[in-house]
Amino acid sequence: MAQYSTKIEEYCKSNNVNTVNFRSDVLLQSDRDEVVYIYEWNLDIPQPTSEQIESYETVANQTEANVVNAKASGNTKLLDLGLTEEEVKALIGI
Amino acid sequence: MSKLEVDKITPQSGTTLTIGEAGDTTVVNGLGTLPATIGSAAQVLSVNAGATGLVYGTAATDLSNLNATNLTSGTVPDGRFPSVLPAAGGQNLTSLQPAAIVGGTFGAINSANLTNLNATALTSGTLPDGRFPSTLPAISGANLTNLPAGGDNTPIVLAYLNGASTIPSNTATTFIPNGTLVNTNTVYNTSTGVFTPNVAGYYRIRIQTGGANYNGVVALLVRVGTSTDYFLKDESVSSCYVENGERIIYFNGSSNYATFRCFFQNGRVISGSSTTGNTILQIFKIIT
Repeated sequence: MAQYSTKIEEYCKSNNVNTVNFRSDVLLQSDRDEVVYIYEWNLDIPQPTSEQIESYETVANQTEANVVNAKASGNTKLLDLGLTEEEVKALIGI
Repeated sequence: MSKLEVDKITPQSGTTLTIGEAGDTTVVNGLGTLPATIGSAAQVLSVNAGATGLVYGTAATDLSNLNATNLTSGTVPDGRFPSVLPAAGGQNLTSLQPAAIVGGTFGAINSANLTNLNATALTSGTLPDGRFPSTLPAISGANLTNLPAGGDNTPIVLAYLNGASTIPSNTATTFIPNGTLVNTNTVYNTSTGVFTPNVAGYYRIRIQTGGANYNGVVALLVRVGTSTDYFLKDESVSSCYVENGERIIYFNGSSNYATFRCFFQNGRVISGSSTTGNTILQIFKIIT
């Protein structure tokens, strides 16, 4: 299941907002019930409903998978360039 | 009415002139100047009401219309006063002797004019705080004993996350350190994660999260009440295993309460235990 913030990012992209700052534009919260919800919406485009956000589940999953794949691809390319595992980890900060 | 005029009445025998009989209330008008002695020692001559004549009786009870203004000498014996004095004002009573006051209760009179009071006479009770000056006199405190110590940093909460908790990305998430090493007066609820101190004052709150390397923005927050957030940490970190922040916040000791939140740009699994201490909550009341 994709992250709630990823689904919101995809909703924003579809409304021509390509970057979202989750410290100022959109504030998400999760209380003790562990349900994520929009606490504050400061973008000019309309705040989406829960149904609208959930409709971006598939595309958000694909986006997150692309990030994972990009990291793996980049890691492989760095290793192919002759860097050691330790050097790669040091570069990408893990 | 017949009228008898005589120049002199002389007793038939002896020196006693008898008019009527003992017990009579005969009025003798115009008696004029009385001789030195009238009647026997047990009998009394008085002026009756209206001063129309003399009443010749046998006891002092027969005297009437006496006026206290005529008491010009001598002393009225105690027995002539009633046991309960009339409720007249006592403003003119003088030379009253306190020793004579042996019972009863003084009324709520103002003591502003009392002088020469001696504190040595205070043998019981407790002086209220208001009777002490805000600044104590500069006398030596060398003999003061049982002075209290400076106070305690209580309540204290030392809590830790026992296990792991998944924090979604870009979401300010309530996390609950669910184990405690110290929890004075149970001011921290390990089920709800709510801290409600029972003593008013300033509290130092320190939060630490962690358990694995993390890159990205981290924010640690204390939420007081339902909506007021205080940031303890807010920065972008790289290869960070644990993050921590602290802040001093005032609580009123009754209605103020707080929960604890963390924000990770990229999401994170935080973890801890009673011994690793990766994810912990530390709260101390500050002595002020």
